[in-house]
Amino acid sequence: MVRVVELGRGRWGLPVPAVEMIMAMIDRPNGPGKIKTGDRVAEFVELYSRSYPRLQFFLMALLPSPNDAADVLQEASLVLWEKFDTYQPGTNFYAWACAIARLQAMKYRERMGRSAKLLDDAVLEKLSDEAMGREFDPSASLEALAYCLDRLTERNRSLIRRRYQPNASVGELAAEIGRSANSLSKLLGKIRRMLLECVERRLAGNSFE
Amino acid sequence: MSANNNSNRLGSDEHAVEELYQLVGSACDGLLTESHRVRLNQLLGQSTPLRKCYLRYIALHSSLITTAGNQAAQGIEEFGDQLVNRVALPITKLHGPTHARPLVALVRAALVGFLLLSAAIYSLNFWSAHRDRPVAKLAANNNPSLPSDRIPSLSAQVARVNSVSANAHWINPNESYTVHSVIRVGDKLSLAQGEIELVYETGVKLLLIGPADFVLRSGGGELRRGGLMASVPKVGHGFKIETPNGTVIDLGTQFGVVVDDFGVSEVSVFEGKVEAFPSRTAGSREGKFELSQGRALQWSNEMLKPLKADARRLPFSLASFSRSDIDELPSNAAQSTGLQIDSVDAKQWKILGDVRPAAGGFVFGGDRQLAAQPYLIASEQLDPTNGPVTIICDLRFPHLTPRDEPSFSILTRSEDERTKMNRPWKNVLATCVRCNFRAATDALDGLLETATKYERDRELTGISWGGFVRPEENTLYRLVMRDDGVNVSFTVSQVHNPSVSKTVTCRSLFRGYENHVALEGWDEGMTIVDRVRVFQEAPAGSLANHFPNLRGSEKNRLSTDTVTDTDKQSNLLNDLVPTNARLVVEDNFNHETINATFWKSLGDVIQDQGSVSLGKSSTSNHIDTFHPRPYLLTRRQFKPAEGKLYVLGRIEFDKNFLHGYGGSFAVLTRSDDEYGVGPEWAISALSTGVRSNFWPAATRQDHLLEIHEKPTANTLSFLSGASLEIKPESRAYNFCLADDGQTVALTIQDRAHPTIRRTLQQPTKSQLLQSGFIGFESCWGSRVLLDDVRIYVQPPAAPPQD
Repeated sequence: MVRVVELGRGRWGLPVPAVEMIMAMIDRPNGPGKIKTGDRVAEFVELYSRSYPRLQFFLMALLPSPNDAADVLQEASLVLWEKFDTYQPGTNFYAWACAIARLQAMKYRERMGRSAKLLDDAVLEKLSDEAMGREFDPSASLEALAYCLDRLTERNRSLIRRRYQPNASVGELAAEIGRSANSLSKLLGKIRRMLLECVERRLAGNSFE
Repeated sequence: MSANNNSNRLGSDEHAVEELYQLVGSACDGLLTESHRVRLNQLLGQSTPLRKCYLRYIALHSSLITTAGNQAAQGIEEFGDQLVNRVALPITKLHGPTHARPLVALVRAALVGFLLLSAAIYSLNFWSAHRDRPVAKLAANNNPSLPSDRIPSLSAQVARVNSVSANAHWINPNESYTVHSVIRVGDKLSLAQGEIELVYETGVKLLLIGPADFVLRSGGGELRRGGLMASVPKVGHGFKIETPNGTVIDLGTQFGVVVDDFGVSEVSVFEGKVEAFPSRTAGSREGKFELSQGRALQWSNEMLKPLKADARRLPFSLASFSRSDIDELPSNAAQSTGLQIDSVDAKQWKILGDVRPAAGGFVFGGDRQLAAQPYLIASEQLDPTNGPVTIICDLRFPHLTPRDEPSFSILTRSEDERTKMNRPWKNVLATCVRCNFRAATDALDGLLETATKYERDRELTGISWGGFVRPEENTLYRLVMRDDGVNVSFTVSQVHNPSVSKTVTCRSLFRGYENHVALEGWDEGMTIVDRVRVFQEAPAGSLANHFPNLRGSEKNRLSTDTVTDTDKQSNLLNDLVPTNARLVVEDNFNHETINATFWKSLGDVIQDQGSVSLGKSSTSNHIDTFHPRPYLLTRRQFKPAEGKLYVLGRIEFDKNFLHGYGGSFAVLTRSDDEYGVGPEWAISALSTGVRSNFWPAATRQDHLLEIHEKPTANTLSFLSGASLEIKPESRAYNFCLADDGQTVALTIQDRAHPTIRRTLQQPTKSQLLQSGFIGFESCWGSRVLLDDVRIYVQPPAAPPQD
């Protein structure tokens, strides 16, 4: 069923890459493989959209270096789309998607060789199980994150903002602001730690409210 | 000891966590060396808590990426809107076999569903408005559709609904907003009629005038259709309104913007300056136009017209003109100019072509060879901006063949000459707004069309609407056109079957070169026209009266108080007081100080320019119900059971009385003279008494008038409530409270609109409340001016036996 809820109240919630990906999938000449009904397609879009942030997180946990996770996410999304008829409605879509995403991540590591093998297989094994836990749903902490970003100093906020611009690279940013990549990375690390602490405090606080 | 152990353990863990975080940070930034990589794997391999730390850190990193990506999500609003439009199509039709297009549409529909449903925290846009160039550059590179200046700051993201007019109608009721609700960037407001006022966090006030489509943007908005008025304080400078074909940027002002249905935008500056950036087609002059006070600019893709600012261009929305009233004069026609055409008087009417009086009306002859529409034109011009013009007529086509395409039109803002240029539209009057009813070419239905002819050498620009039956031979049709200078409505109905009826509306910003009213017949056959009536209503109140900021400041302190100020006569509720009631207190507060023999007070109560101010004037919108309220109290006590009390007076609310929680005014009887304690807001009120309250900003309609009872300090019961129409510009009211010890009756009357009046009567319940002071109460944050207070006591009808 297509459900259109809170029409007009929405703020656009999906990251552009996800939207682009969905549109690309729709426009693929092969169409949705064996999927026969429109309802099923709608179901996919809804499930996929919902899981997108967690899926991105999951792949980043396995492939923390810049861009690796994004590349795999793109590939994995298409596989999810093609294999959607093997997904049992009503079961855990995220778990199903993670299984596929994990395989894609493994293939990617094979393909890319050393550069993508930042984590050892044994560590990867453990992480891929643990990363599926509910506690790591990044969408749950976004509101807190916004709050905490707002409380950074202007300089720190600006740094974070520039670091996370799409396609930004720490090397280039460091050159732009005239310091070494390593020292910038250290600084960014500090700011992330501050944010992390703030977010966790905020979430803990919220749970008492 | 265990605490010590713990902290030691934590100490070493902390060290490991610290190291881990540094390593993950480097990994995320792509700077991990091989030795660091080995160490990272070591740490992660050995401890579950460290893996959790790692995952939490990655979750944050991932969120930052998501959110940064989502800045660009602002840019997909357009895309989203398109999708919404698709969703508006009946989705069920798309559930067919999987053809490419329906499938795409369906998926998009689902996507929209999600986008909207996700209530999406993603777009919590935390990025500061303080931008630096490199970022702007990056943003521009990465997403050209998103100018970096559209990245909103958190604080500029939200506006709040300050008021909603009583006649407001939302195009989709499920997408409506109530008073005090929050509107976020990207939210769309679609008003079919009525007005709503928004307040941005910067203090900018925006009055949206329906029919209107508006999308809230950071620091402004997009007016796709309709009208708005903005009042921009200093901090809000740079406030930006986009129209479909341009942009208006405020430089510290009050200004109005209107967008019509034909691609014309107009800005009028009432105070300060604005910059207008019309975006127009190639070949025409682009650029910036700075407009100062009193100036206006109108533009479309083809033309640019400097004009004088005119608040009448922002009229209140189309008053709905119900068909049942068609036989009557318009509602405020008492002051209208009514013309009924029975015969053609050469002085009053001008004829072009074949129009002649006949039994029961006129015959508009159509000469197929001339192929020129006949016209009946009123000689006297009626400028609709001086008051809405309504034209009504009945007509029928006596001879129609199936191939005929009959047509009839009503014109306003028209010249009284034909175009003359040898073009297909040469026979239409040179410039006009034209409402046309006709048969669709080669089709079974009838069309209603609203159009504007801007120039002599131009075609009509119009919109035609189907959904009506094709004109039939000898069927009597009633046409009604109403034009207030911007808004036009056009209704066609069958006189003998009024359920066959259709109304279309449009907005045309075209300012007529002349303002004739004309009827246009069919050029290929006869039309019999009957009962032609033309009305001009009294001008609708200037918008300035409805938009508080357009009014002067303190100088019109009692501005809405139109009643002459001769004490007793000034309260139209006087007649509620029986003639045998004895006047015991009378005060018009025209002294230096409050008369201490009559009155005492609690809180901020001061004599102020001939009236009593309950509370201090405040420009803030913060109105608090927990701070102690100000009271003016009688020195003596009254026992209403021994003589019915009548308490009269008049009040004026402060300007902010509809903001926030809203101002209120209450009369207390049988009351204590000390502040009480809870529950809730009762802590700010007197401890006991009967409280008859008037709360114009009440969130619930049935709480505008309220009767409360406080028998003891810790109690508060609501006994009953009632509604009252509140006009935002009306701040002055008469009140009368009657109390006989068993029943209280509160009457409130709008002084500017005396017919707006309501009495709420309610028996009191508690036996504890027998006697006490009479008090006048306002609230903290919105003062009430109280004046001309009189208290009467009516002796009991039958004196006590002893």
